[in-house]
Amino acid sequence: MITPDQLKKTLLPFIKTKEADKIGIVFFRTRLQVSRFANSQVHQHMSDEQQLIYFRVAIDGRLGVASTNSFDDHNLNETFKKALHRAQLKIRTHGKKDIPFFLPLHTLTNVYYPETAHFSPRARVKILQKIFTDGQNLKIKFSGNFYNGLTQYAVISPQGKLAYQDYSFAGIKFIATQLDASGYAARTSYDINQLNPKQAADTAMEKCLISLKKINLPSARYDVILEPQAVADIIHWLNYIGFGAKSVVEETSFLHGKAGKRITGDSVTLYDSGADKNTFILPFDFEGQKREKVYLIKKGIAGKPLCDSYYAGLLKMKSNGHANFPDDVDGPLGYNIIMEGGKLPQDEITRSAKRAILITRFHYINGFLNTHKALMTGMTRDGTFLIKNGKIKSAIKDMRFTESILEAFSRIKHISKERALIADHLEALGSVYTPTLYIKDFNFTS
Amino acid sequence: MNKHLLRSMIHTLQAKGVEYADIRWVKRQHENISVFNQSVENLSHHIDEGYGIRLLYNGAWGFSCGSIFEEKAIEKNIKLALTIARASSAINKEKVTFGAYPAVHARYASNYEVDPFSVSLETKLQYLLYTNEILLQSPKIKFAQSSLDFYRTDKLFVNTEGSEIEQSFIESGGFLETVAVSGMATQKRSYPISHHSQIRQAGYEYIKELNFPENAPRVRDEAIMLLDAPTCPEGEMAIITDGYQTALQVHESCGHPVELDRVLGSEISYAGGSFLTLEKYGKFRYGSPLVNISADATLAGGVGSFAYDDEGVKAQRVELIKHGIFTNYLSSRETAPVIKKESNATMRAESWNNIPLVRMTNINLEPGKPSLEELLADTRKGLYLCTNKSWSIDDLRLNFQFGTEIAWEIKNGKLGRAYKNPVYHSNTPYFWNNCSGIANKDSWYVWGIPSCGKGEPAQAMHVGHGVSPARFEKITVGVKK
Repeated sequence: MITPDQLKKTLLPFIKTKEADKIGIVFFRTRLQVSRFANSQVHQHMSDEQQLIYFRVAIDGRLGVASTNSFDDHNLNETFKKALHRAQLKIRTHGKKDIPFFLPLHTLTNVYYPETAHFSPRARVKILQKIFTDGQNLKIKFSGNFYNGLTQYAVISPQGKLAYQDYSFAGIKFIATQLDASGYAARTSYDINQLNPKQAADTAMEKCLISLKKINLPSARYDVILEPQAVADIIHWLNYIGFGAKSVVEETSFLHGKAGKRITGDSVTLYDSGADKNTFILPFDFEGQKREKVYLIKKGIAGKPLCDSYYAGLLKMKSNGHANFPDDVDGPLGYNIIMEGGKLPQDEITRSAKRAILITRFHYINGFLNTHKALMTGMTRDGTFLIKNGKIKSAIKDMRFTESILEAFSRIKHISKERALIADHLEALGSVYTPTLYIKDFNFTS
Repeated sequence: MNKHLLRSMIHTLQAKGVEYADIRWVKRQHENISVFNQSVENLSHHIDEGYGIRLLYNGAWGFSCGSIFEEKAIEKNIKLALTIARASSAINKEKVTFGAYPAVHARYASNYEVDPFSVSLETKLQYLLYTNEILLQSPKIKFAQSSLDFYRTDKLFVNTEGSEIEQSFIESGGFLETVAVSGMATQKRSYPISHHSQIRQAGYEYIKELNFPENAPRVRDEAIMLLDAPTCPEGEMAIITDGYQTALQVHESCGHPVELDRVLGSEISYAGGSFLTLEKYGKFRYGSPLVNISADATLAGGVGSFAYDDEGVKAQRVELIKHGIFTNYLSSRETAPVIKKESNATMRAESWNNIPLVRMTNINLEPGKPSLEELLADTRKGLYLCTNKSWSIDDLRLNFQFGTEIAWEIKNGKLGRAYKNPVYHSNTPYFWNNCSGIANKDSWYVWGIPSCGKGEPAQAMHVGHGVSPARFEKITVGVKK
């Protein structure tokens, strides 16, 4: 690991240059080990160690950004010069960019488990071996991945303050397959000992075996029970098209012009909270500001968008600490989104269903159809079942939905008490902590 | 890069008893300049450099990578790659088949006229600010974005077979996007593609070819026009997809399902499988006899072009669909033996810290006979669908739904009024079997997509598609309410 003291020693000299108004530095590092498997064979097995050092240089409202993956003195100097050169360009434009100061932020503890960060390839394989054997006994093959690693990130403010956080992570994902049947389950945690790979594999196998015989359902409206992964797939897109300030400035967000107005049913509360350990914490943003708890939808009422200092200025708000990476053009986004749970245990939700479709997860959702309505389309995948009178009646062939999520969230009948942490460190930064939802009349279109 | 260092790493690996190993050194530079409503949204430069060690030991793979070129760090990474391969070997029942290929010594650099990194930032910014100003010349336009992207990638590949391949690529591109607003209604138009830059293996001359100033007024005016346009009619009808939408259609419903690693299950956990299973190889009617699709890694300007892939195999042109019949997969040294073939050189990794995967190169729909004008004139009733807006397809690449930014009515062979929010859906073999016309080479254009996702960890690859607009009959437009 690179320590905060090492970061200070190497990077602090850069912020003392007199050539700029302000200089900020962002450091982000991930060490990742992945055992990826298909057909119960480990086919891609790797270690990846990547780090990024960003310089942000502000001169007279202009911001230059340059980044490198190297701590080599020469490379750091060259990268710094590139950022400086960009900020020095004397081109007249509208809008000024700045690098905010920040107060020291405390590093959160109990999120780094050395065993998780350093779990060996051999140890991962040993766990998988037993599971593959269990699968073989049922003529099931597994695809998926088992990974572990650590994330470190830091922001250095123009006044030389350092915000630093690290955490370990582990994840396991199984897609159990037999013929054209498949079942999915995944777990993720800060602590590899909390993953319970066997439980995940058993769930995937059970779903797969039930899916051996699938029926066709005509496209129509059906009640659905969305498991946490399916809910997270939708929330990911809500975040991308509507929770960030850029989409509000563009007036394409479903939050635009709706602050304080009802946009979903009153059972829906969604917020982003960077320090909530139910998610993989990112307690400060990439401008070093505290990631505040921001209600995006509270009891069905539209809340505030996620802002950084630039978009806060455009929207005449204060930054709520959601600056993205310095060279990102998507604008502020939520990385720690939480949906409040309900009252019913998950089992009871299923038991209460007279006729509904249970959905494990979605594939390839796209939310650009109509962003004001959060109109999305996507396919079900790896475990779609017809529930009748509280029990799984049969598996269903995958179906496509096309639905306004705001409208669907106005038809929520039940929200489970239990919630699950959904994150995939192999795909993108960020995590969602979400319950299971029962939604009436979900629109399946093909 | 110090070639001797990579060679000495290869010698160390040979001494450790690996069956095969390759080392890829990669240095990447990316410059992004983005102007948003006349202010500079992003002005950034990124550079990274490192090496990836991929080795086969006792029939199993191991991969590790690093960005520190010191002896100790390299030794540690070699040891780690071996440890990983040993762990793979301990669990795998089947050993990897990986036949020998001849050693190659080669150098390659992609063509360009003007090095985009030599063009001043002032010039680039002025260009974007100027086009941004054109886009904003109406109170109805609330948002205008103009962006440029430039990439330089240098690679050195060495392997235990004695290959040593140096390659260097320059890519340039950009895009415009604008949002018109009226009350709570918004409409977006983009040029030349939506969501990200259209890129080519070319220098700054390609930015001039894209000609933002000439296209910005049309983009702006169409976005405004769409605010009051009627909603797209629904039902079964003929559609003609414009070049970019056809490129996306080829990408999602042909490029991905012909990836042999997907067919063999390697991507089940993320991107999914493929409906083009092995028994369909060489005989499945994928499309109408008009449909000819090839993978061409030698196409000038295509961002999927190279001289050698990331396994050291020479770039090729391969027919994938011939007169509508599915004839070939995209393959690698490991997957090709399954279909009793040699690799057709499609293994690429996003960077030094990624494992190479079977990736699309330039997947091209060969041009047909009629001109676009003749194709339109030959269509009694239908829609001309332009610029992709949304895309979704199932994990086997069969059931898809696409939306475009604009639809133009086709009535008695002529383009009529514009419609907003068009969406169509279909099934891959049905769709391509209903292809009734492909425009000729006059409207054939090489599109470049910078963000094709695959793999775990996810890799974003630059892939190309040479296509011209195409017509499809009896396609369902609209979705069930």
